[in-house]
Amino acid sequence: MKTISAAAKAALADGTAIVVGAVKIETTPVIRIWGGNGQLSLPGEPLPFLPVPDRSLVQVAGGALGGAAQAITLTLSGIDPETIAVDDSDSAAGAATTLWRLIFSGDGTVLLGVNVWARGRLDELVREDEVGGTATISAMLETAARGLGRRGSRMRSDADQRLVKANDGFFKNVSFAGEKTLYWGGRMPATARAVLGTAPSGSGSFGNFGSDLFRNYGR
Amino acid sequence: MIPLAFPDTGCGVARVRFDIERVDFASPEASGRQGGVQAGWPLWSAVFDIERSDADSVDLWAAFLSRLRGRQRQFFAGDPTRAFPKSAPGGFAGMNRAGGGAFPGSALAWSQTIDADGNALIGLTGLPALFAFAPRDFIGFKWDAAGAVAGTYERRTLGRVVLAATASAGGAATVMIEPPLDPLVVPAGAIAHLDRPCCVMRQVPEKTDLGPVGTGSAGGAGTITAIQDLRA
Repeated sequence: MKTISAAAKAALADGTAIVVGAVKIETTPVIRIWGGNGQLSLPGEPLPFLPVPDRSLVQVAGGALGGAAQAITLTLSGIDPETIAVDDSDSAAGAATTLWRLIFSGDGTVLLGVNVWARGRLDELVREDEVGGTATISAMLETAARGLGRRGSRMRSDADQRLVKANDGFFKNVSFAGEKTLYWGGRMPATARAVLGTAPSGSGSFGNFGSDLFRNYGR
Repeated sequence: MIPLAFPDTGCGVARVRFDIERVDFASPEASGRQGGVQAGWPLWSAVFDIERSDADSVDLWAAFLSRLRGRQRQFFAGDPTRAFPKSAPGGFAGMNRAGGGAFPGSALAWSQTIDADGNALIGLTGLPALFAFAPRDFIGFKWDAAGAVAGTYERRTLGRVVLAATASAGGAATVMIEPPLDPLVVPAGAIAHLDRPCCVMRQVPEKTDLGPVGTGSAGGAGTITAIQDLRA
């Protein structure tokens, strides 16, 4: 749940918001950087965030959509002293990381809203130095829904559940495909025929559902 | 290192594009509404076009670019077409502050207020009486970097006057500028000045090309492209 202040929402509605990101990586020492030009203090943080005038922090904060399960890649400048410390630190692996999104007024002088965009752990650090190009450090953040050293296994399909307990058929009627496209009207594509089955087999409720649909609307 | 000075060549700069660069993440809709947010803070960007350089100017340009060492070194860059305000194109020689004393080009004090519409209004004091500001004039701000020798003014930025304004008889003026000053960057102790306002830039080597030099040492057309390096 993200609570965005009324002033920030108004700026977003007006199209006057300046959006920027801030990151805290809890290595030793703790690294605090943000995408602006001066040092910024945030409530609850004992030390100010150091400036890395980097628009990629903005891209992550503003452009990364999706749920908390989605991993986030931060692209940092590979030559800023503030970010190179991430690369040098021994404790970077698995370090807790917090990403904030900051919304400023259109004149860039007033911080209208701060909210934590994602929390996660540092998964992978990739250094890239491209000749004639850019030098960057890419930090992959694994958000809480995906990692955090979970001991259990994936539980999404009937097969997964039966790995945990062979007789447990709780998921037997659950489709394992993350996304299934149903075609309303028109000719049924050949691939859909293969997936959903044209004849009712009676083996799974999703198969029957699909073929009923096509019998009624598709022809 | 103190940023290099922009060379004062005989041929000068033929044309300049000195503009505010803003990066948007726009989400234009077919309905005509253009939503979106702005990514980070605006910066000054400059493209200096050079044409028909004489032999001495060619030497200076080549030396300047060599000293920049690609992206390594910063330099002070302003808009050469408006080095001084329109009302005082030749400088401030002989002008006095309204309160007395010679006017060297710098204000005695400044402050920024943001009005209800988000405009940045710079209040200046210590100007000559009835001093006029024209659109596209510049107000420069200079301050010392942390730990630097006082008076080196390695940190600079500037704002463009966007509405005409006139100082009062007492030498105080309120001028609207773009872009607004970032209070996290420009300290309250910075000096506001009108003489050759400039900012600190680094060249963009991919887009910089001085062009070939003729056998008589005459230069052709060249371009120097630079982007502001704004630091607190």
